[in-house]
Amino acid sequence: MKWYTSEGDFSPIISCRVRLARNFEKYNFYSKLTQKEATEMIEEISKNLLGEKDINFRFINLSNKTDIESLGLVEHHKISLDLLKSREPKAVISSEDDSIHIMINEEDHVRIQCIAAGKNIQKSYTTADYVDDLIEKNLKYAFDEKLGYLTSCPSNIGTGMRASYMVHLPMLEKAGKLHSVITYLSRSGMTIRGIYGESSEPIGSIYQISNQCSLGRSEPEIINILENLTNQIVETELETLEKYVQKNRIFFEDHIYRAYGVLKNCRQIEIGEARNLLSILRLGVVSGTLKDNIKTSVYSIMMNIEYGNLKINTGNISDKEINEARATFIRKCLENSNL
Amino acid sequence: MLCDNCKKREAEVSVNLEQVYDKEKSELHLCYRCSLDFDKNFFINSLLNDLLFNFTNFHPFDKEKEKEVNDISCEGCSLTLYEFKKIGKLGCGKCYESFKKDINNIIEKIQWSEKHKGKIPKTNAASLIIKKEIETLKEELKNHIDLEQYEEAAKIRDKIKEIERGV
Repeated sequence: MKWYTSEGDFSPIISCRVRLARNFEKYNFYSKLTQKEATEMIEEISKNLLGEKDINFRFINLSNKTDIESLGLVEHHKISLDLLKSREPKAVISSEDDSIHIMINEEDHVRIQCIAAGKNIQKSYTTADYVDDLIEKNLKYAFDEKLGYLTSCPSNIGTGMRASYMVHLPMLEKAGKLHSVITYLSRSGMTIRGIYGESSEPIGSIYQISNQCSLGRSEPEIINILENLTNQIVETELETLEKYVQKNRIFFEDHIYRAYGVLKNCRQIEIGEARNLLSILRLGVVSGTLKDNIKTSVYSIMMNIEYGNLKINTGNISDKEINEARATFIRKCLENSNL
Repeated sequence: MLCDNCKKREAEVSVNLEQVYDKEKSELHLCYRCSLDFDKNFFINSLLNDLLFNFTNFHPFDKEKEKEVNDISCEGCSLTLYEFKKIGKLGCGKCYESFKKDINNIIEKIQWSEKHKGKIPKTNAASLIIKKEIETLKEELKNHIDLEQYEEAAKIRDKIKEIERGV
């Protein structure tokens, strides 16, 4: 089962992810790596992973992908925008269940990403740690006793780890409390960003909470701080929601059901409106208003209505037909909801 | 007040760098959008230039100094400090040694501490464990000598020699 089909809609936490940045001692880093060396490196990493008994890995050569197909991979969080922009050759090795993605030749030689639904960050770290050991079987990592794992950018050295929670925070956003969340997180070396990580805009009130620093604390310590802070933020989101619903029940329910009504009946819808309405729909599920009615993962719908995925899933329709296709897809996802 | 980063939008968030990094007394005023990028992106793309210019006492209009900065290059990959400043990325593991002073200054600003704590690669683990063991024994040896416990000190000295021979 894919992680996004069971994203734990009853909580503001959608998913969690652990990313490890690694480079090999024998190769120059990305900015100084030749095409020949990069090809050789991709082959060596593939050899260490493909054929692994415990995890069924698939090799995806990004050179063979169209722009739309690559964009679809970004929208599914399989690869980063940076990998999409990075020069050839580049590749991604993924597990069959889409929970592990190893990006090769991005900013660092290897970026191991393990993603899981809901609050499973410890599981994600254990998997990333296991894959990390598999990769270094015949390849020595660039490592310094004092600085830890050496990375292209000094902001990733040490553990090379970025642990994150993807959270849906519509109430804190509306209440204008995110400013204080940012200040609060930054005091502990943590940060909050948009949905696709660095430099990305928040979409549908979805944010990523992650560690900003990577050197000076061990992996379990980082995870522990992240978990504690995320729990506190999520609790504040739920408290804000509860108080709001208590005071404005009819207004709140009206807001939720109107969004539901539009999504279930629309014949064409633009991406911005769809994201906003789906965010409201998810809030309806988290608050309990629509708990028994929505049978599908709202986040899964959110991912699949984005430009790249919609084009892939509809056989590359024209841009003119895209809003109609989006509406059809949403209606289909919601057709089994019994309201 | 305009945002310190984009210089376009109104600043809405104040970030106290002293609280964040426990270092310099300074405050950043950011707009909501830039505050979301208050991390690697912000530091590397926006502060890196200032940091490097400051560390090297290099003024943007001082051509002589610019040449001097350009001349420092990594022996591993030939990346120059100037290139690093421009792209914010290093060329190989040896760059950390080649640009040690400058990188340490950056690390001080953007990381929790300057010393790694956590996982060690399997290939490095054995030699690092032995190194740590020798360091601990040397400390013990010094303590025994200070306390004039020469018999114990001799035993530890022999143990260190034995481990070193094994290495």
